[in-house]
Amino acid sequence: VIDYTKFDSRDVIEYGAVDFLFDTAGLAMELLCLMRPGSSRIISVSTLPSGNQLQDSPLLDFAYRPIVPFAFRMGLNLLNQIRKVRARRYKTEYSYLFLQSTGKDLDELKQYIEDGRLRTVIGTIADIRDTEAVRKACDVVYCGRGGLGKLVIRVSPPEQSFQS
Amino acid sequence: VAENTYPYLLKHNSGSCSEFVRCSEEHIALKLPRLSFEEAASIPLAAMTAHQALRLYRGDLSGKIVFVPAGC
Repeated sequence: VIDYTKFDSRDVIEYGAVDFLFDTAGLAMELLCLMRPGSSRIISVSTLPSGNQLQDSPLLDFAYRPIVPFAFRMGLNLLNQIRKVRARRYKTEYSYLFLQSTGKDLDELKQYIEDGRLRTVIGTIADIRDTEAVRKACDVVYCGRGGLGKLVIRVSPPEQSFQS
Repeated sequence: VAENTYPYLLKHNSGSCSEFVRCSEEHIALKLPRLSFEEAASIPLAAMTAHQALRLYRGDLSGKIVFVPAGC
């Protein structure tokens, strides 16, 4: 773990040492030099998607089939292509990922938990009836001071949770 | 086990702040009985994103270096 508030990861990590970069902070293009030439891969969820990906994404999966304006879509495609070419200059491969929600993956994750390979980490639990607590907890997330663990907002009171 | 009592409600358009939500079957899975609802709620978005991303690496990642940068 590198304290990103104190160090630049480019000073700490050896150039060309990273096999897989999972970008959740939009830093993919700045960190290209760290990638191992030839075999490495960058998956980003926080840069911009390509226009085609946006069109096919769950965000636009409504019954009335919204269409991304042609010019906007081509613009996004172009920007995405530029990122891909920039990555290729460092002999690595870049792509954007849109989360696809599937129960199948959830079942796989469940198996990981059962095997002890995945642990749940909860940071704060706020009750939705306690507006002040929810506001405070959301502030922390929005400001990017997330700390450790997920914020869970409890919607139904615990004692009323479904009985099995 | 009463099956429908342990759904993982997953991020799907909207409704994650309501007590009941309608959702198609392909988006849900049963919750592990030993997990609390709070624990189960903490999984889907982050874990599934990571899962789907890591899966895209060609070949085996074990023993290799994965970097997840933070901060802006």
